[in-house]
Amino acid sequence: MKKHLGIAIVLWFVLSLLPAPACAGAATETLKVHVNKVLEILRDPVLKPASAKEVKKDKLRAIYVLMFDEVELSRRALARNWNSLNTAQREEFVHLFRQVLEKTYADRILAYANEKVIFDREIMLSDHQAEVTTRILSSSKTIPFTYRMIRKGNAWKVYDVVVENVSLIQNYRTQFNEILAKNTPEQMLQTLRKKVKET
Amino acid sequence: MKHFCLTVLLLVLLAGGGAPRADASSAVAASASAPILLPSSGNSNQLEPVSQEPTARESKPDPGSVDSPEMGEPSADEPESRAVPAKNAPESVVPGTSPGIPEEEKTNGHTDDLESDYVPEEGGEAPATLYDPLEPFNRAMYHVNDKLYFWLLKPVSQTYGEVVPEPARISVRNFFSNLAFPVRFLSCLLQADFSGAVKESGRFVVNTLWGVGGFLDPSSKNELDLPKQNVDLGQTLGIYGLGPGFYIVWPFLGPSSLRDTVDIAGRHFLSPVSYLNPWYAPMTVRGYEAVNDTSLRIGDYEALKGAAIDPYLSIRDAFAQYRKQKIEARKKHLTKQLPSGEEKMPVSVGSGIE
Repeated sequence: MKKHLGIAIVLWFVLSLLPAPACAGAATETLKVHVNKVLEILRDPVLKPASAKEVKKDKLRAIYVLMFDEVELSRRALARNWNSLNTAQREEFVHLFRQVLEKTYADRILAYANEKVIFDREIMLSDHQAEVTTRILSSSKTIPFTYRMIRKGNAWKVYDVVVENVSLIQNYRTQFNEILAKNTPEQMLQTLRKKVKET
Repeated sequence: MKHFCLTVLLLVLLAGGGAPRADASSAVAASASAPILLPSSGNSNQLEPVSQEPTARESKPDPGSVDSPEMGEPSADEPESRAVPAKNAPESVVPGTSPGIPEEEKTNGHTDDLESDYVPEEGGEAPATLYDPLEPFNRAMYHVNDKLYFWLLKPVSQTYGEVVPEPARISVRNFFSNLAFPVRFLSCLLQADFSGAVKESGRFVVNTLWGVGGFLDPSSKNELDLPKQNVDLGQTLGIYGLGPGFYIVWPFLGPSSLRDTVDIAGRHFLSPVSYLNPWYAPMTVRGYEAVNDTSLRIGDYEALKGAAIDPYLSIRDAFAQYRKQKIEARKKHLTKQLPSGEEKMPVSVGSGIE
């Protein structure tokens, strides 16, 4: 009797020592919702035919708007230069910047289908900023993909993406810094307008 | 028998005790009250537990119809959205009432946000910068490599990729990666990372013998769990405190720096391929390796270039960031391996990020 009870008690202790299920943070949970929606769209058999490409793009755009903080993204990409733009220029920049990103990445994302996304961990950078580390697993490679997210009000939104250790925002910041060192904001906007129009 | 029943009863209790715990955490996740529970976001008491629910539900009503009026909308909505206080929008909204909600919320944020200036973040990481005195030469070389890619490497790799199935190409990549073992082994030794050196040797032996000469990668599988050490010689010099010097774009070889050119040279001398006999053999093998690698990465360069406002600057920055991170990640990894007792150190060193 005693022996069995002993075993049970030991078992109890061992089991209770097992790590409690990791409590993922709010940022991760928000991100998961968005990423799963994107994957759902990419895998939707109804949207498989090439003719549904525009429908898929529309759906992705709707998610993008909820998932990313576009203004924060633009502000951080321009950094100090943001302050020398007036509100109208800022608005146009945000708009153009989104189109630049969309033009390049929409087709890339649409090419994904069988990839798996693994959420690794969440680190709080400050009380309203978090970094969520994920990995995209495909047949030939694993791509480390980190989202930096910011909380405004109640919503967590992405403001930077770090792919293979390269921060998207940092990359644009370097470019805009050099471009704006030699050009006026208006000229820079003109370059962007041209870029959005080409092809 | 009685004993047995008792044990069973206890076990049932145990299982019962475990379950609510799991439920609780998922419930927390679902109701999105998590920010309050999170210790690090402790001072967010004024938060209502609604953060994701609205987001989750709002995006459900067919997102396609939400954004159909094209992207010119934000400006049109502007005056109306100014009237609504942005911060309260998620609470006042009844989820799923109208598909227009996300759009409205978005524009609210927009106008409020557009006004506020950029304030540099204190404690933010220093940006990776790379001195570029050779810019005119580098830009010229960038264009040479760009043409080389689009006119030669890409078409050849594409055709090759159509003929050779992907698993075979991955095997070939493994083979070349296994062949580059000396560089990683030496780098580990030079970094005084002996466990890394041992792991690399283990990998080499296992992959060469069981992995059919390196074509398979059995040591990365779960049973052995010996992933490739992420090391190179340029990184080793970086860990010893040598800066990158300046940026150089080499024809054929691509972006590099003064310091990382040492890596290119080291790779050359440590690679068995360099000692193949007819004089053109090393070149042929390297060319094949490049084609095989590229066939698995078609589209990467195009995306990088397409997204860039100035592709040359974008690639230079990507290179600078990538190298800096690779060195810093390794430094962190090495400090973690310090003899026991100092294991806690990296936590304070990498505060915030690690």
